Amino acid sequence: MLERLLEDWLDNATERSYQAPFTQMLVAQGHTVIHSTRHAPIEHGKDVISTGPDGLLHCYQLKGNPGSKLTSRGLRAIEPQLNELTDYAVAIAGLEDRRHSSYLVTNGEIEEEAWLGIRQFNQAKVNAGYPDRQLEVISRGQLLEWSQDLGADLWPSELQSVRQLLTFHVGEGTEAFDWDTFADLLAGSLGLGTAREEWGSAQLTRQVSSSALLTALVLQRHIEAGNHVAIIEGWTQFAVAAVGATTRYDRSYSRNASKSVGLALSAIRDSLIDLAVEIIDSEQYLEGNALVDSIFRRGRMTMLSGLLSVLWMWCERDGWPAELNKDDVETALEDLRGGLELWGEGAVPQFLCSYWAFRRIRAGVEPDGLLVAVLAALTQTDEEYRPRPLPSPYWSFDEVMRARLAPLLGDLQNPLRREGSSAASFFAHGLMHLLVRTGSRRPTKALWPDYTRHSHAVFRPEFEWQYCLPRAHDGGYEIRQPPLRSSWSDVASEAADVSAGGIPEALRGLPILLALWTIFHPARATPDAVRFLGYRHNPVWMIGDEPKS
Amino acid sequence: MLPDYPGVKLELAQAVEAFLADRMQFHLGVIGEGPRMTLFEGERHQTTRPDGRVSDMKFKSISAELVFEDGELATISLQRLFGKLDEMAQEMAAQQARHAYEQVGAAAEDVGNVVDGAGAPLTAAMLLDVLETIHVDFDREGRPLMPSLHVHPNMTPAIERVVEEADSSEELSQRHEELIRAKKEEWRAREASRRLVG
Repeated sequence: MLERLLEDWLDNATERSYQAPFTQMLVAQGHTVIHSTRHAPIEHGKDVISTGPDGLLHCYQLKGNPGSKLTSRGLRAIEPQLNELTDYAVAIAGLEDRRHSSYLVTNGEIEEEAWLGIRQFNQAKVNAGYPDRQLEVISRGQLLEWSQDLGADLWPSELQSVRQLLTFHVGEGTEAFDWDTFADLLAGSLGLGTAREEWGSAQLTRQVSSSALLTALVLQRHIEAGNHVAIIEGWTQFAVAAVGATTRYDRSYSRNASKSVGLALSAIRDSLIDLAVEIIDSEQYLEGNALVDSIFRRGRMTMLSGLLSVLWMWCERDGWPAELNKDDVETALEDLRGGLELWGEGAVPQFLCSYWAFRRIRAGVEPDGLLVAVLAALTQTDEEYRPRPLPSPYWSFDEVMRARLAPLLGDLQNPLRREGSSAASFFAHGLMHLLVRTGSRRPTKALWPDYTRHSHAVFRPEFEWQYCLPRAHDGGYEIRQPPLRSSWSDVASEAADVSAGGIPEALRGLPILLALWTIFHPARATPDAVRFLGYRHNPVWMIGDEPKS
Repeated sequence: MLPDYPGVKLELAQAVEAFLADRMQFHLGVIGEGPRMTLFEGERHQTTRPDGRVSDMKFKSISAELVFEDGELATISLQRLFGKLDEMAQEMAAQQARHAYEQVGAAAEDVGNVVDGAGAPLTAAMLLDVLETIHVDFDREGRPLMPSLHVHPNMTPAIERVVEEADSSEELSQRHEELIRAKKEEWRAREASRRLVG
């Protein structure tokens, strides 16, 4: 069944949707991929560049011929690109003088006449005195063999898992990403379930690559639908789970998972850029059935603001892509900020990412006003000084909207119908620390009394690797009622702690990925994570010496 | 297979589940009115009080059986089914309430916040003794937010008698007023201490 699924995936994949899994297959064969992104200066006919286990350079041009054949006519149409692929040197600093092997990759079959054309293409190179500029071909059969070797043998094959995989395969792709089902699949393929596997280092590396292929399969419909947020969420979940697996099995992240995670990050960045382009082009941020979209618009804008802010921070660190204008992104961020909605604690990480980018874009006190406003909303009390908490971070925007719409949709559709008046906030504690770091004593002191009227909650997984799961079986909630009176210096001392306890070291080294993880799974934005991310993404530190990064 | 009607049955199953939850809430009475939050992961829970005291609690599962006689499932009416579900909800609520009272009792014992009547009948003075040990908050207008009193149903006549006794006694009324005044002072001091200094 899994073999058939892979075959079906390959026969329907576009050039765009099989690039990421193709690079993961190369990694599984010992390659190091040094170029894959779709959003980088054009590498003359080279979609993917890798160094093989033999140390040689390999360049690939990917073509999508889903369920069809590459014809001689099709070959002629791409001949200029193939010449660039074989003849042009790799335009990457330090590699310009290196020879490379060239590959035409297609997920279709190759027509007999096209084969003849390729042989003639290669003979012409020999005749011209360049026998080393040969074009090799990787076609459907080879790709299928690689993917089956990496996929079907290593994925969980129980009926339940196959069914779960099928649910992704038959989806429309426009729906929200089903992280819960995907977590089950990843638990099987990465050994993150309750039973510990007996895996050595090599096996774990193969499981990571195999899980990356699984992720590509799961995301295929979303890729076809251009559902950027689902793609970002899927790759984020895979990358964090891969970190979790190396942590659980006490294996080196850099040796066993960093290549696959790096490619996942590349796919995430590409989708963030695609999303940014769509945001910039969108005038009103409407989507789907416009008749009933207005009430969802602000929740969507809040999510978009968070994700676009992550991309802004990413591009500031690693450079801006050619197709994205920094001014356009900052204008879009400003526009989105006008529509932010704190619909529940689940939105707080989106606000935080918006705040961190805003703080770096704009000097002055205005950005800190956003932080104060969120903290004030989290610690509000009623006429009887009783806390008026927002829905906990475990509730998604979709679920909160169902609750709001219960009078129309019926109470049975309300997932929060059994939720009581909880007095615990998962975020006020961490945000209080961020505010203290800005040195803003007056608003901090003004918010303190209501802050002490709330209980402050955090979930701590039993084992560090379980931080990488959306839901951990082991561990417990800690509810803390703060002391009524405290001193600025004591709180500042707590606020200065950026040790990020409970978060695997490899994930601490990937602060962009960690920020995305908290956006998609807000309960993982523990006070420790918030303090750490604030330290990494926000330059403001008004409480003495900054820790060394 | 025989014909099934999964769409409508799924909705009915959801309605059954909702009914069970609602009835549990009803049978929990005042216990169900406290702060409540769905916990989605893990297996335990720890609370740290403002004074640093820590209490731990493991999640406890509650369950009740739904028993049908031979052949009953084939012919049971919805009315009868919901009646059985209500009994089940009552049993589960009783388990939950018992657990909650055990936890509260243990916490009170831990900090010595217990008034032992030593088997003597309940009196209004005794209730005021209890009130003295309890933390009372006030609203923004300065009105007391009195705690609720949880008693076994068997004690209802005794409570009615005590309320009558308190209403008719000038001395007890005066003591009650003084107690509330003292509580208000405690509350004012407490509120004034909610400060971040330095």
